Amino acid sequence: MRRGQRAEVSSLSVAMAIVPRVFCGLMVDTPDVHNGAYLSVLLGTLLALPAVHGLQFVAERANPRGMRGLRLLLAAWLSLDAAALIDCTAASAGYVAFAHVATRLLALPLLAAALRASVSGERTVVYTATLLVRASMLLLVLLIVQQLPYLRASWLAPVLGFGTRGILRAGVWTAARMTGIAGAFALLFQDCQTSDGKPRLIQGMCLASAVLVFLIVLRLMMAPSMGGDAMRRLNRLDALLTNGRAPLYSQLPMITVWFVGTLHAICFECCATGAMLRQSLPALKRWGSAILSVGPVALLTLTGLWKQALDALPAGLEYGFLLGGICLSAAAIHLQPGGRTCE
Amino acid sequence: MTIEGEAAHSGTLTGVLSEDVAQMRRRLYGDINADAHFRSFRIGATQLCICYMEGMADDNKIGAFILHACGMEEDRDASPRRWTSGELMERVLEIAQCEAEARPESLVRSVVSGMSAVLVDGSREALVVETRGYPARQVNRTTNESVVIGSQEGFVESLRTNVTLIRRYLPSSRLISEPMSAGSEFPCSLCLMYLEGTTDPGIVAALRDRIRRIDAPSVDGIGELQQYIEDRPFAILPQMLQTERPDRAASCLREGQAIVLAENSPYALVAPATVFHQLHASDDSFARWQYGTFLRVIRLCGVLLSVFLPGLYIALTSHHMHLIPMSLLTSIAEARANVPFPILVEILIMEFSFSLINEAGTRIPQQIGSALGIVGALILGQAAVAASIISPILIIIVALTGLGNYAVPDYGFSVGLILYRLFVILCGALLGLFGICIAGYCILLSVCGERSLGFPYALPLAPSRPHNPDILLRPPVWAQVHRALYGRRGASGEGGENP
Repeated sequence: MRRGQRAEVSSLSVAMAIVPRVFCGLMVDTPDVHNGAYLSVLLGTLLALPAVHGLQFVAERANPRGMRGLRLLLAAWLSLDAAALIDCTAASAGYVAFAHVATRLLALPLLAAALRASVSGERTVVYTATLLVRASMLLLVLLIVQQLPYLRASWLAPVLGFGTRGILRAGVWTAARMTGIAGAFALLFQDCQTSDGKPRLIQGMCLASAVLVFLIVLRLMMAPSMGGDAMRRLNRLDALLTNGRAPLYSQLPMITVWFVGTLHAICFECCATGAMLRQSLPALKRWGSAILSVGPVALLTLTGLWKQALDALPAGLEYGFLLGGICLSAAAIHLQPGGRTCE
Repeated sequence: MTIEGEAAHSGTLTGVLSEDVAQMRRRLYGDINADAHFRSFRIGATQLCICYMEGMADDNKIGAFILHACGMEEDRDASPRRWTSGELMERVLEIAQCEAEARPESLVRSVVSGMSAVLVDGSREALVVETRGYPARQVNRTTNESVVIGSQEGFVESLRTNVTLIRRYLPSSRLISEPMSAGSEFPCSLCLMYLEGTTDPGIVAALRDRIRRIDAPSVDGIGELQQYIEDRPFAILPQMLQTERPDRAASCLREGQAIVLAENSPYALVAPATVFHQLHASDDSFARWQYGTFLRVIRLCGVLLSVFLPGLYIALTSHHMHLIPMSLLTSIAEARANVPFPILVEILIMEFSFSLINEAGTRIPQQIGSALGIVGALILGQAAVAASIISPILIIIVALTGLGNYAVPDYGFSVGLILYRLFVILCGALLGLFGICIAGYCILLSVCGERSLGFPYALPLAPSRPHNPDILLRPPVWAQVHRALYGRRGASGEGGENP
């Protein structure tokens, strides 16, 4: 292992990439879970842990061809996911101030930031996460202190939406996202296999799960009673960002945490895609891989193709697709005893 | 061809004084160059000639330690014997720093830097004698890095004095000062300093290598040198630290960093440096930890205000009026009622005016400096508001922004922050808070992506490394451990983790 990589991928960095993505999905794009979202997080973590552990195991013993397949599969998955996340974030920007601007136009600055992140490289994005975690924690504390008078434990009473089915569906959805992001960490930083340098994925996922449960419970305790169709994305964003009861100026930290968090998740996914492309096709340079990673995401976002690609796909199939892909890659890989180590 | 002729042709001294003097005269353009002096004299049966540049060499030193010493020797030993350059150096010249040199080009380099060359008839080696005595500024108070308490002296333009200043702070045999030069046509004398055993040899080797690779006819001091050797010339923020304080340079050396000093530059260049080094000031460590922490927090707030305040103002007032409390919104609206420009134009006018006054204030002669204050206050403060060109609240915003910027100890870093501020203003104007968040993230990305001598610029927080807790806060000195972050056991740098 190279000395500089020690503790490069801390559990906090992993959590910082997972939390905004899953929180965004559960709170905005998966409305059918209602107050059972934290159960979905726990279920999703349980499902994702063995998948990621398996992926790490495979990555340690993979031959180059198998690894290439695995990387390309994950890159494709992350591109789809980034497109979905960009759409959600752009919609939230529209909600906050630009209702008259097309969501696709608002996606452009996000794509530009993603391109910048891809060019910077995966390490830079991970380093950025370690600074963001500190700033986000400060803002979160501020938020909690601000919202403390409005929190009502009674709103936690279980309103489980579509019931067990909805929670299971959201759980599988969560597992797919966690597996994708943590898997990207496993493949990107697989060169450091010593116990010190190994990405702390399992700890990171558990930490992400704990933070998500905390945030969701907090969010549910301050949920306003909503008029109109609670399933609509606009209403979900309204619940999330204006929070009904808080004075309007106190939205500032909430909006900041929201945008910075989702932006980081987008940048990580695009950057990881680029890095995996670069690892799979060594002839690619930094700029080439960045364009190849952000280009398809832009295409998916600006044309709305991701909606057709993902909306029609049941969550179980998403997870099955990922898990199946990993298993197929594992089967294609000639397992070698002992595995590779950097040092 | 005679031996002497061959020597003259191959660029060495011939040992024939007339020919050697002619060669030196030719190389120094002695016929037309009034500063180049050639003083012939005799000791015993040996003819000598001192060659020096007037003004660069000290006449008194030449008179006392060369001419007078030779005269005394002649009085003592009246026999007409012949002297070699070696004998002169060992027995006659009364000056500590003296060495033999056979190459005329080296002699010329020494002479133009203020040394004297003593050419000896019959010797194919001349003596280079330390007689430098050009006028130089005395060690004085710092001008840009002022502190309230602590050492007040700053570097000066003399390289020798600067090295001595650092040696005073670090009286250790492990403090190495390695002479170097940069520039092929007009070499600039440099001095690479580091603590042997503390500084990672990789840092020293990288710095040495980058300086040697400079391919330029001249290097004008530390500022140009930095531009030649820094990792990313297109990055907004400086990736090395310039300090004019010997105590700060010594502190960096103790941390395992290396420094470069240059002739004619009253600054030391410290590498590697992080973004946190740019935000620290010497006061922080001189003061008690409570005061140091408080001052540092204020400074960090100043940096945040400097980068984000105008952008936030424009974002909130243009796109998120609902986030502003009603009473404040009303007063902003009333103040802007007669202003004909959009907020973006208003802010850009103020930013330009402020930068203009700032720049003019730097260049203006001290005698009329007070006039600038009057002009600035009248134009920006009163007349512009009275003419409804800007709103009064914007003056508060710009004033706070300017104060925040002045709180940054490093000048280059503070200019970099202004550029970031303009980026944030544009993003805030176009996209509101959404844009500010994107701009903030991109700034963070660029800070985390920069390198200083191969080390991440946001070290030791990103990536996280065991470090002295003296980063954002300033804990008590006894709680500060892991002082040598860049030392042999610290983080790895060039070649270690560059993407």
